[in-house]
Amino acid sequence: MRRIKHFPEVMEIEAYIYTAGPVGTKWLEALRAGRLTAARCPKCGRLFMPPKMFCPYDFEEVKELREVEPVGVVETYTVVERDFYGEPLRERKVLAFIKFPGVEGGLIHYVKTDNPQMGMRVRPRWRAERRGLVTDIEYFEEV
Amino acid sequence: MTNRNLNFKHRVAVVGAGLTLFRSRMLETPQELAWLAAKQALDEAGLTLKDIDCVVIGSAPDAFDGVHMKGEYLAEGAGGIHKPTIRVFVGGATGVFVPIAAWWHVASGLCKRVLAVAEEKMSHAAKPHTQYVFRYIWDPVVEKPLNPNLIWIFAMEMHRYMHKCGVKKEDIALVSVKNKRNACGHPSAQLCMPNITVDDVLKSEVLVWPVQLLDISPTSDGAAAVVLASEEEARRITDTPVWIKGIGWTLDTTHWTNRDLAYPEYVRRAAEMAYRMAGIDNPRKQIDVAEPYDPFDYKELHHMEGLGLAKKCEAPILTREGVTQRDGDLPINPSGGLLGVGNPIAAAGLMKVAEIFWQVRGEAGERQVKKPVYTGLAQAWGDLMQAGTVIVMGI
Repeated sequence: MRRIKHFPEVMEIEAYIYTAGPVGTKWLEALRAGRLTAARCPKCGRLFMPPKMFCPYDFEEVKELREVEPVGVVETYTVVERDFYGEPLRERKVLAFIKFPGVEGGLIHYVKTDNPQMGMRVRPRWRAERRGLVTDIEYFEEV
Repeated sequence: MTNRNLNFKHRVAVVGAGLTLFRSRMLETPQELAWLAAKQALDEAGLTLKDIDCVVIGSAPDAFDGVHMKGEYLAEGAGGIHKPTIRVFVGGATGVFVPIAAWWHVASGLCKRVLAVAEEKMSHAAKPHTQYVFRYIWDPVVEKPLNPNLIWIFAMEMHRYMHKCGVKKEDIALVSVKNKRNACGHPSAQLCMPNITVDDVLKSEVLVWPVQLLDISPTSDGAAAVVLASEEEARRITDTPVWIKGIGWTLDTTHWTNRDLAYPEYVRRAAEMAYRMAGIDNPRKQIDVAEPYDPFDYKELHHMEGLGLAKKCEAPILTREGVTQRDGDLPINPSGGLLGVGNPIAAAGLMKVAEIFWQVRGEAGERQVKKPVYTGLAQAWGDLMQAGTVIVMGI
């Protein structure tokens, strides 16, 4: 029953449509092809993630992606125990920040493991059917 | 130094400006749009990011780009990483508030060179329409249950202005025709319509009477940027700095029902503040070119009157007489305005500031107005149609 004292309302729009930008689109196309890449600045030579059309360090235009060896290192991790409502998850999830040697930044992703460790080496488990999303990597697993 | 009751340490100049294309759907991310404009403004000033002390970012509701805390999100594209960076927000008035906030960073002596960037990517809020975002700006108790939309409210304001001033739709349509034609000289323009006529406007689809499709600016993606510098730095950077002579901003009540709908008091007060600082007592004579905020055609007229560029109810007459054309005695929106160049909210306001910068420098190309420009003005308006922001610039 609606009360005079309060006004329930859902503050949402029906749908957002985002774009990944010229470099981000190429990065997603590479993911769909099962390849991990990083953007490369032509001026300072840095490789960085997430990829974008400008170098965040020196503001130069970036057009090129370079393939990255898909073996990363867990920089830090956490174990998710509960959902948004505070209910316990049926299966705990390990979420990690994964860095790749020679690349600035990295990826946040799930790691399938019962024994997460700082510094553990992980590689992507690719989905068989890929759509050009970061979730084309189902999770990372220990090398 | 004390200047007409306002205290500030340093004179401030604009030394560079940049603009992306304004389009209904851009591939670039919001950060990348911000970078495109910022990079262009830096290049025009002959500076690099290393030369910038502080960054000011402006963007309207987070709900357009669909990223909450948009200022933080945009910071990297706006060059704000590891620098004192702030985002300012007064709805549609944000675009002119960005250089105002950047001005006080420099005028106070805190920073010497400031990059000011405004961005909006409205196409992200795709379905059912970008306007849907405005469902949640209303009072949740007395207005929201009626599901109002901004265009409904503008339609009522427009109707009230028409009624009080005896203005016909034909007179208002002249503004749309002028601005959409002017836009053909603008390299960023989304709606250049070289052959548009009053008849086209009057025959366009009625959205919310009396607002028709060609009375209204489009939804757009885009970004704009300017570089501000202290007097000493500005003289080192360029031979032709454009000085910020006056700034003003005010807020009226959020209850649009409790305001004079036929006359924009919020603009009048903001303009008075800017004029006092700039030493302007007769704006009609002392302002050579102006870019008042024109998301709707009637708003150009409304705002000209609020700015004192026309007497109450006089703006439609000046428009009909051709005074506001590019070759007229008081050119209004020579850029093409929001109606012609497009309306990526915050970026659109800053586009107007960039236009005045280029007009004062004589660098507006085929948009350059005929009369010599010593002093120009840009103005924006926003929040729940309650915020007024004004900047006066000149040689």
